[in-house]
Amino acid sequence: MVTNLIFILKTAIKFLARSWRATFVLAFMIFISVATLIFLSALATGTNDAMIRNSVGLYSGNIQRMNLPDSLRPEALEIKGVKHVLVRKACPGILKKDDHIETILLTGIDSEKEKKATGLYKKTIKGKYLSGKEKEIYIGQILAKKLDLDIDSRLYFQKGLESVPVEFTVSGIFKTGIGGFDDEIAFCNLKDLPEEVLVWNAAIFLEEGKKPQAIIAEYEKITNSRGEFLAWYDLMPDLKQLTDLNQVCMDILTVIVFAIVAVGVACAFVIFILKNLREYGILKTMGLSPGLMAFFIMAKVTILNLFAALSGVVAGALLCWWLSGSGIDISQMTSHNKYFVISGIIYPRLTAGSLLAPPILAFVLSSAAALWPMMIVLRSNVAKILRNR
Amino acid sequence: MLHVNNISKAFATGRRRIKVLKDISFYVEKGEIVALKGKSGSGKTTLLNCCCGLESPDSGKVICSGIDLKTLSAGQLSRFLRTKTGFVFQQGNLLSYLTVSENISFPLHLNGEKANNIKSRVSELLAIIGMEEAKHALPSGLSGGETLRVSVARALSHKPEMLFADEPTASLDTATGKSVLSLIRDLSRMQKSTVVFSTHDPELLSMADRVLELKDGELKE
Repeated sequence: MVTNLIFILKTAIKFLARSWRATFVLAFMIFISVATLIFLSALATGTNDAMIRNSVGLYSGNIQRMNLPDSLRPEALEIKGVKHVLVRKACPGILKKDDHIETILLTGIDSEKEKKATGLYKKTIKGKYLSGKEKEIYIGQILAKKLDLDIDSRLYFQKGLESVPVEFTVSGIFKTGIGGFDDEIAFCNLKDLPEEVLVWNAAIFLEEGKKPQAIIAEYEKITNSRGEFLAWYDLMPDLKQLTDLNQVCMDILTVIVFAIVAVGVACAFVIFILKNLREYGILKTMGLSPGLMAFFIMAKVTILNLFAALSGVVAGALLCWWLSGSGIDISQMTSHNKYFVISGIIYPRLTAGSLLAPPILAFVLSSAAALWPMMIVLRSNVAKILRNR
Repeated sequence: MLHVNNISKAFATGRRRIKVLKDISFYVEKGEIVALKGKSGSGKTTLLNCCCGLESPDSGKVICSGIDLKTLSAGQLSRFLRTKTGFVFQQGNLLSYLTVSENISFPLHLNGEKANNIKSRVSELLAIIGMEEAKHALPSGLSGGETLRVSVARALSHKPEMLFADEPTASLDTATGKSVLSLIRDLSRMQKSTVVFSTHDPELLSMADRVLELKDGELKE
């Protein structure tokens, strides 16, 4: 029995190799589908990455924690997997220029460290980012318009109406396209905050591929707190939903594409098998049992699917690898999109799921598609097949 | 060896039912070569198919190599065809994706022969049919006569007790047809196989031990 199975397997390989034109046509459909879907899946992952990277990288970081006591040094949070820990101190107050008054949140930052970790400085549309000079302020475009400010304009910050006004000079104006940013927040150097703020906020940036949960668990141990460190998806649930939706759409697309491919493959197999029906008749005449006949057909289909799916994986992976270096620039289409505020370049990224799901699905559905032509062969009458010559 | 007992077979064409075989009986001795003569459409192919179990008669009984073919399941019929019979088709019908030697060895592999036996048997048959040079050729590169010779070698490779040949010379000229039939006769005599072949070429009938004629679905000897 085993000898027979090996012999039939070898015959199936010979059939595929020597009928290479037909094999190529059948395999091409599966190959293209697998390669395309691996690429599309990697592109979807890359799009999600880009949206997260842009949203997180603009300012907020992967993890945030508000109101940390001054006694806790930022170095304590610099654990394995963490790239940057940024200290920010916020001071609510009013900005005044001549008769114009606006309520804002003045945020003291370490501009050198911020520049290394965040992309806000890239959004400067006029002047320059904070350079460390005394009493500089970096404001959003909407706020600048409301207060009629330009570069080097002088203005005053007051924590309350009773407080002493502190003079600042506008170093730069930024535009992110995000209302809360362009309108309500202004930045100055930490040392220039008008009053001592005893608590600080941490913006934590993680190394590529690190999951926030594990780091948050570590932090909760360090600070003996619970639920106060928030990951980006807690801070931006809209973005989380968008990336989830993107993934679900990709999964649905994958299943639909392969359902269509499976029908296509089934039809192609039926045509292919009907064309060679006489040869199956001859095999039956030579005494190939129904079981071995089914094995012969399934072996041909399985080998063909395996070959096509693996070739598709290689092609899809190569395409992703090639584009993952330079990325795909879609800036033209994302200029007004808050999730692509820093960069409109997408880098396709392969994940185990995106690499394995298309070939597995292709293999399973295309193999199932062979059941129909197999039944045609098994149920057809040899005498009838041979008579129709 | 082959006992055909009162078999009848009819086919439905639209509303009509055409009786192709009418109450046919005959007996073929072991090692005998029997020719089945008849015009085109006289039922020769149907009778051959009934004799080897590829088709079931509507009534009657076929006993081949001591086995009542009616009693066989699909698996048992495959085993019977694999071990007891060989079949030569009109156009040879080699498997297009296998070489000459692979076509010849196919039934031997199916019957679980050992690799050494297969190799020596294929070499022996290639020498008999004079096609050692073409053993690696694919059927697409063979002439009609060569294809038929390979087909005969394939049908007899596993030394079946019965060989059925359905108009094996129909697509050949008379000289090539005679050489193919000589090959069938010589090979089957060599390994004591019984042969039943159909033909409508009167010149080839002399090569048979006995001739049966099918006319209007009835058999005349």
